[in-house]
Amino acid sequence: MSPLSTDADRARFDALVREIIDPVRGYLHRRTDDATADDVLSETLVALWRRLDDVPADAAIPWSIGVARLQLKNAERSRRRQGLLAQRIVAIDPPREVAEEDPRDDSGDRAVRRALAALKPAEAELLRLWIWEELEPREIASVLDISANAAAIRLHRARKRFAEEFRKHGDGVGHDGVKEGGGR
Amino acid sequence: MTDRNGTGGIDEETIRRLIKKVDPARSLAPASDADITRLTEDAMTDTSNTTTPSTTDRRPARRRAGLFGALGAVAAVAATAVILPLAAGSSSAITELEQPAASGPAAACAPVSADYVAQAQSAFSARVTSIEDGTVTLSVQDRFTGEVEDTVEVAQGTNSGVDGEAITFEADTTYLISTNGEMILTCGTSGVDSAELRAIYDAAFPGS
Repeated sequence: MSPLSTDADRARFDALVREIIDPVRGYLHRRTDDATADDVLSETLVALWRRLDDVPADAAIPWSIGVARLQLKNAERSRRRQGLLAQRIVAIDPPREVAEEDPRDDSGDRAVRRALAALKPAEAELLRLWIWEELEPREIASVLDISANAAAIRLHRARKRFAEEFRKHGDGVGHDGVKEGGGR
Repeated sequence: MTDRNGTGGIDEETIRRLIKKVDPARSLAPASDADITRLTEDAMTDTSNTTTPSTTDRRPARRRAGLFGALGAVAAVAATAVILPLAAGSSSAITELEQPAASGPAAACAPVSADYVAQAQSAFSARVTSIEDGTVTLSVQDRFTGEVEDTVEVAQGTNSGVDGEAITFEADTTYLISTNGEMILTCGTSGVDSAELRAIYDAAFPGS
């Protein structure tokens, strides 16, 4: 934004932040530690302010999550330099879920986590965007910058793969460990 | 469980319920008004940068079908997460670089700052000496930090390196490049050796 930002711009930005801040915070806190999440949130807001005119009014949340996703990737590359000097990283995409285990997990939860971990990273991320971020396929398309059609197809495949993996990892899990609706 | 949606025996609602249950942010409180005010003000008054990415380099909102095809091997590699330990005895100086795969919205990166560049593992200037079959060869000139050989190779990109995209290198042009490991930092951090970018690199590595 030019240094001569108007009151209208500031009001517009304030409204945008109020709309997107919780979805973006949620996205970041699910995928990295609290400190990095806070840093990346700040960087994301700066980026949104600088390109305020580019934010689509009807898709501000997925757009902003997409920006946060990019910022998070940059931040993770910076952090990997610590402790990974002896390794050569070829490519990493997308950001990984951070908490693999939770003491509150029951056996069904552990099976879910194992199933998610068994998916390709991009597949797991589609499911997370769909379920945790509660985005529809066309919004997921906006986050990942793919077509809505591609998002819908990949999401369908990801669900199928998850079901396959969950059934594999769910062996040995009693049905009482999986809280499902009645009649299944 | 009935296979109603061809999803391998678990329907959509069940999948949703199972995965929702392990949501790590399920107890994350909403941002307070005070937080929102502070964050908004901080974002609008952030003056840590002297350049902003050009808006003319933005891609259209819908990804072009040809983009993945053009990236070829780079895109295929980027679909997996691979961490390879260096072979024992090999030099740690860089000779091959990776560019990020195209991803994310064609929108904002935070503008480049000397603070950010200063965190790079390696930073150097290099001049393109050849571009053949999608591989760019560069001759390293000034080294700011880190270990890099005299010659580096990188897969040609199809964008400007501004919005997190891979850089399209041009013949006989000198670039300022920052890397972490073998991954080139984009979002404007690496780019043509312009007066503006050089000023940032000089500020990031004083005395180099």
